[in-house]
Amino acid sequence: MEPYDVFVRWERGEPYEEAVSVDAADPEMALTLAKANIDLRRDPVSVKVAPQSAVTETTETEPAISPTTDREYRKVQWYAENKVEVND
Amino acid sequence: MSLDAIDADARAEVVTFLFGIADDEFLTGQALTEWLAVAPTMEEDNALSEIAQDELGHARMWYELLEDDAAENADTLEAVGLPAADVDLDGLAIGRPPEARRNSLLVEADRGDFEVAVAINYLYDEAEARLLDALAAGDVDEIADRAAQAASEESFHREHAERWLDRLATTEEGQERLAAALESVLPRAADYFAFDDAVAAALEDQGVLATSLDDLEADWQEAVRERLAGLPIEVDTSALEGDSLPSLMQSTPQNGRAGDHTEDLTDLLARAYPDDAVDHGIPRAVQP
Repeated sequence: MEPYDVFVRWERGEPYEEAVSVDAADPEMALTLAKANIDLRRDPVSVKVAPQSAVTETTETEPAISPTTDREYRKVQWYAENKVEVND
Repeated sequence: MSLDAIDADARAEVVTFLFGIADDEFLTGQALTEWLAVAPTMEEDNALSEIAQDELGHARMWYELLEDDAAENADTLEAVGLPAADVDLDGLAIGRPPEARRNSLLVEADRGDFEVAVAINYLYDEAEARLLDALAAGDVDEIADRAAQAASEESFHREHAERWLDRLATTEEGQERLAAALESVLPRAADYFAFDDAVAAALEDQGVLATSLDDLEADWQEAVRERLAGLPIEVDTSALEGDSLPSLMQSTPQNGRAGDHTEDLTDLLARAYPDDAVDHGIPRAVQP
């Protein structure tokens, strides 16, 4: 018996949202219980369950992961604004 | 909207049948609400509550059809033994005494033990699925539409019962208790399709059912036999072979479809609407 995380995709093309967690003895039962325990708005496109023990996630004390140095050169717009000389 | 498509001389039979399925759903819903707050886990609590809500919703759907029909054809109610004055939703659902009920004995059995609840749910869901499909494929739109709506919610009920059937049979205690539960409730399921011949004939003639009750019953019995044979438990399903109704009914020769019910029904109704509840003006099935 372990907790399973439940993820729901409500519309085609939309990302999965994290919904509830359910306690179950196996994945099939977790999926069945998930169907009765999510906040139903309409028929979802897809429901996924995964045991929490299989999920690895970040913690709040993790170092920052977004870039802090200047990455403007990666943007197309920068090249329109800053003409680059090409030496033939 | 009434059942205008039905011939006047067959209407009483069709109404009797509809009371049967309405009472089935209503009592199933009531029985399952008794698991509220006491299910094995919180998730199960929600699952059983959802199933109970679905069943009560289906019951409401059928009772409303009967209410509408009775408003235009008061003589139909008289024919099934109900005074015409009792025609309102609460009166039909709550106010009818046990002898006026037409549910199967299966649904009135006490399902206070989880394995019994699973056994009853499984047998009931399998039988009901076949009945609803035959109604949805029938010619009477008012009935076919409602049956199709109910059937779409029932698929989850079946999934839930099937999952638990397998999982209860994985431990020794579970196997013992499940086998005992099945043996005690199987005979009660004998009357699910046992509507009397006049009713069965009317349902076929009027096109209410796309398949005969006999064929549905045979199909259901075979499915149950196979399913139980696939479980690691010993259940005596010999009663499901051969001429079903007489053999299954040897142990409980009562037919809920004819209004012959057990004490369990009186108890269930009394628990649902107890004597000392506040008087809200709804007529009681069981008088204090």
